[in-house]
Amino acid sequence: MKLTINGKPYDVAPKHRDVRLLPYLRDHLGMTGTKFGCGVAQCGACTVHVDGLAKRACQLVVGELAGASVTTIEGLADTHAKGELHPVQQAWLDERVAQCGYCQPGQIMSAAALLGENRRPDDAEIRKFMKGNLCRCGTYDRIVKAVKNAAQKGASR
Amino acid sequence: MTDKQMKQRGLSRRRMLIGSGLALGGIVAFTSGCSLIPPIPNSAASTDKDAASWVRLRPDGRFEFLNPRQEMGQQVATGLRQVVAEELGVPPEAIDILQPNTNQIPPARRTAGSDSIRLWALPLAKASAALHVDLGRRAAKRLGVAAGDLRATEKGFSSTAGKTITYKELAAIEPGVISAREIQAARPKSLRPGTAKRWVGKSPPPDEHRNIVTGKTLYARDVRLKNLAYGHVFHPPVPDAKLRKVSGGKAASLPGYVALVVEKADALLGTGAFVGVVAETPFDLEAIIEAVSVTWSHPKPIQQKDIDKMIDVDLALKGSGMEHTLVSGDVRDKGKWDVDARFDFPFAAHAPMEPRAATALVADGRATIWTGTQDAFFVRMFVARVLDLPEAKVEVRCQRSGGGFGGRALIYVEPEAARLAAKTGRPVKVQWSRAEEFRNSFSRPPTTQRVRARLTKDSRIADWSHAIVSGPILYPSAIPSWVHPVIDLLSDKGVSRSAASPYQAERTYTGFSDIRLPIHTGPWRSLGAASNVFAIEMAVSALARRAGKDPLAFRLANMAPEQKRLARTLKRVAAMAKWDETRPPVRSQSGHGIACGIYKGAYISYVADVRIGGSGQARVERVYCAADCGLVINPDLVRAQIEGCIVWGIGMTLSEEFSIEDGTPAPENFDTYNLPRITEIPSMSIEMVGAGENEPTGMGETGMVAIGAAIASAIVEATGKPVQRLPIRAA
Repeated sequence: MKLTINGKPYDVAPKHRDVRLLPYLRDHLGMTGTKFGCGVAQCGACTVHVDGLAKRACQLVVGELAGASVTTIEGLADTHAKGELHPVQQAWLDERVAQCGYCQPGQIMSAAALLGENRRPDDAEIRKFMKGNLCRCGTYDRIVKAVKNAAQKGASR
Repeated sequence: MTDKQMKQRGLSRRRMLIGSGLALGGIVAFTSGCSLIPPIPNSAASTDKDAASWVRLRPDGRFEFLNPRQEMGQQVATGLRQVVAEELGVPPEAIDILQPNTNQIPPARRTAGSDSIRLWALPLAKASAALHVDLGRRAAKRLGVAAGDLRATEKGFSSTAGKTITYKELAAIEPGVISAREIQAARPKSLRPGTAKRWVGKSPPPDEHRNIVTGKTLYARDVRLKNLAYGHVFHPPVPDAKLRKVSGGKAASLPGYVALVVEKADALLGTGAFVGVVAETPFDLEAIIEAVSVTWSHPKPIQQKDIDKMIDVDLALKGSGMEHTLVSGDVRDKGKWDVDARFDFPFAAHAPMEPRAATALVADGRATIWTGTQDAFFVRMFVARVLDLPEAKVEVRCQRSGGGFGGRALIYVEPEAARLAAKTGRPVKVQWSRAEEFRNSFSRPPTTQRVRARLTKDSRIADWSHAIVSGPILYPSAIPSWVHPVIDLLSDKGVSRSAASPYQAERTYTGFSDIRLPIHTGPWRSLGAASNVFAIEMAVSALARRAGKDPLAFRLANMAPEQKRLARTLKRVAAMAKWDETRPPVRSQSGHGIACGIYKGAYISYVADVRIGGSGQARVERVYCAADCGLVINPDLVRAQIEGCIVWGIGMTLSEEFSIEDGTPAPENFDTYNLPRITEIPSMSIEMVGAGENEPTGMGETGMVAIGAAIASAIVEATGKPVQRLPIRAA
């Protein structure tokens, strides 16, 4: 079974078909940018893109992703332009969003997916889409600003 | 006699112990430093001598700052580096930040209590100033000029005659060494209020942000080592359970099985019996956990209603009163009170986004621990004791923490990984689930409080009486039980933090009781201050209503004269919110609340605008904040801390709570413990007041005081109903 992650093909061993994508990424492949926060799709820390849509990696079974293209925070910049940050990542730097930073890969992946669907989301649309991403440090106000900042600069997935 | 029997007989444990003479012997054992005592966190502040190892010129000519504070989101290294930059006269980017291991710097106290700027900036500034003086002296010697003829540049030094020497050239000649004497003699300029500064007071970008947004930052959960194995620990159902039976079942025959580890309880260390398993991969681990059966026995577990009784302020007041007095005043108990209000606060969780994790490698009589902690040297001490190694043979490698908030001040996961690593000879990672994080760590204790106050005829405060009963905070239940008789003699200053009223009354009494609970409690952002100031400020607003006065005017009229800085933040926030002009009539389903408070030498005032939604649930629409923490080193980082505290204040006031079921916290995940989400966040206006006028203090927790009372006062105004307990549910 084959799976594409950040543009690279991976052969999934039979013993890994039943495992969840999150530990597969983190513990098997060593791609630790995608975070564990709750394990039950309540916090959004493990958000990745599957064929461009925001998904919680803790809920995905690897064997059900045959042929799919997965993008993680490590590969996000390359979906935009080689050697540069994705506009959402850049907006996160501009607005100085992160405190502890642990939830931010998931926040950024959600925001990038939102802008892929909706180039100019308004305040309410941003909040509605990002509601599944928890941040205990309380960076929400800056997250809203950063998504708007990225939208203004024409971010698309 | 058990605690329960004593309680039934109305005896306080403290009085019993004093009477029996046990207490004094206990104190001697506690403070003598003998090896039998359990590991106790280092509480000494860092010294000038310690600071000598925090900053250096590397052989490659770059400066290096070894940050003695732990990173958990406050980004203290970024702010402290500005202090180093100011003293050295080089841009912050010219200074590399290193998060040192425990063998790279002298022991430093835990990162907690908003102390990192207040207590660490000055020794750091002095060490940096001393280093600069020393480098200048050596540059003058090298160039053959008098020290007075030398001018510092961003790259090094130049003489009036035009000779130059760079830091790189200086570093190549000889390594820089600064002595404690030079540090003591140093005259740092970076923290002096009221002087022009180049780097202090600016907001350079936080140093780790680029790694965070690209997923490169390594938190404790992200540590990976060659030959890494994965461990899991079977936690007892309640903290004091006894291990009865362990059966490995078919675990040993399952793929990836490495070991089943069982160790006895250690009363001296205060650790219970230990049962853990190790597997080759996290995927193997799941089935192995399933196969193992562990049986515990314990007395009938405590329930929430039992705890409610233990911390009931009214029961305590009817009984023997408060155990400790913070402010003693001869308050007149007779006669009618103008305000007689009770406030109940539930258990609350830290719930950092990263559930705790640690990786350990124990080999050749040495241990290495990778973790995210607020107290690396306590981890070193604790793990050394658990493994019976000298502390010098234990090294703690500090990863950035995915949130702290007090929750990583105590030790849980590191000795677990260490035991499993020691038994298997493999590097072992233990990563807690969210359920373990909620149920097996510790939390903010519940507290109940009563404030009674009486007005004079001219609307001043005549009598003020504030009683607080809380679970322990600074002397947490996780401390070994044999030490309890001693610590029960001490008053828990975490419980009473910020409980002294900033208002002037003719007679003031503030007292508190710290009641040991069979549930692990401890420090949570701002300790007792958020609850204590909530009670004070709600009672003051109620007094203002009773007096028929505006809550701002009443506060300013009754504030103690020495609280000028607090009064200034109040006036400023009122101006920002146009306080007098926008107040709607009472019970219009929207309201404005104002409140203020002090936390460790920092001052803050809030105005909150609240609307009650169709469901009856309050929504905070706008928050104004004026704060004064003295000299501000990095305004954007200070602002970020206040933004975080506003979100925490919304959680504390409107949604966060849990109860105890069968001796353990009930929630297992975020579906049953409600953190604020992005849909609940108000717009925020934040201003700093008097930023250059006083010595720097802290802002990591100050924002927690008064935000709750500002929101709750607005809800009282909107609904006309009093608030007696948090969180405030739909009206």
